[in-house]
Amino acid sequence: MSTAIQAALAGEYAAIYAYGRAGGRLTADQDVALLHLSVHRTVRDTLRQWLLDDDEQPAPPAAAYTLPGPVNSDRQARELLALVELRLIPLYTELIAEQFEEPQRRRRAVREVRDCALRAQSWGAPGQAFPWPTDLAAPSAPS
Amino acid sequence: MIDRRRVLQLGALAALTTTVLPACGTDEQGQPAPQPTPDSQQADELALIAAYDAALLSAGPRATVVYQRLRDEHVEHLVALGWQQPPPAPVDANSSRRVLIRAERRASRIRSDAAATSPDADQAQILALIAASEAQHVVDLEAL
Repeated sequence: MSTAIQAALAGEYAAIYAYGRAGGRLTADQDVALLHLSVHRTVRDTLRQWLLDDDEQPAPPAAAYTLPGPVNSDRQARELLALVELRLIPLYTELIAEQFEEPQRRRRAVREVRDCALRAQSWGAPGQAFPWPTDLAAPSAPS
Repeated sequence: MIDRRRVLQLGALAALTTTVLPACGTDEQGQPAPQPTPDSQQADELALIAAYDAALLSAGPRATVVYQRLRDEHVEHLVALGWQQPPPAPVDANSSRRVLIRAERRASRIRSDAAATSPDADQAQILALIAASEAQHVVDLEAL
């Protein structure tokens, strides 16, 4: 069971939805958003193919998504996009571990960690020593 | 496995190391403590810190703020990579924004390769996050 691939796929579905919602509210950089959206669709397809290659059925997108807040302005759109990109980072970090013995998949997950951090930064997220979503609470279980 | 708690621990450990440890290594008799030999990733982070220290000597006010933040993030990387000594004292050497950009770009590439080949899963995850951070540094420096 490729739990981390399914989780990353779910994250990509959410990101694609967010770009669809936020794109129309941007007053600049719509071309950047379209490019990023295209990248997320490509990654989604890659993850789906990995699951099929593993004889697993890719889960479908959620029927609905709850946004963390209103998206009525350029600023709110950028905040949403920065957030969804940052939230993908733990998913790909987990994928590195799950696909540790699969060199090409691991390398791809490493690249996605970097690319999500860069896209988050392009939407205004500050740089971090260890890029990570700051809104996620620390798990209560011991690490 | 790495999670938010682990990421926070990495940052806290770095803060502790940089504020509590003495500025230079000495033993109880005041003799210089033997310095451990850094591995290649640690040596690379030490070189980046030295490059920022050199650049800070002649940086303007705006660049100083950015250089200092990025330099401090490299200290966090260094600690996360297992280095427990304070960084060496700054040396007067030539460095520039262009040199830093080139060094950060190279570092991010090296860290990504290491993450993809590390024999340890936790280390691979940390290296991937450091590679991402160093890629962000390139953007920060190019924006100056």
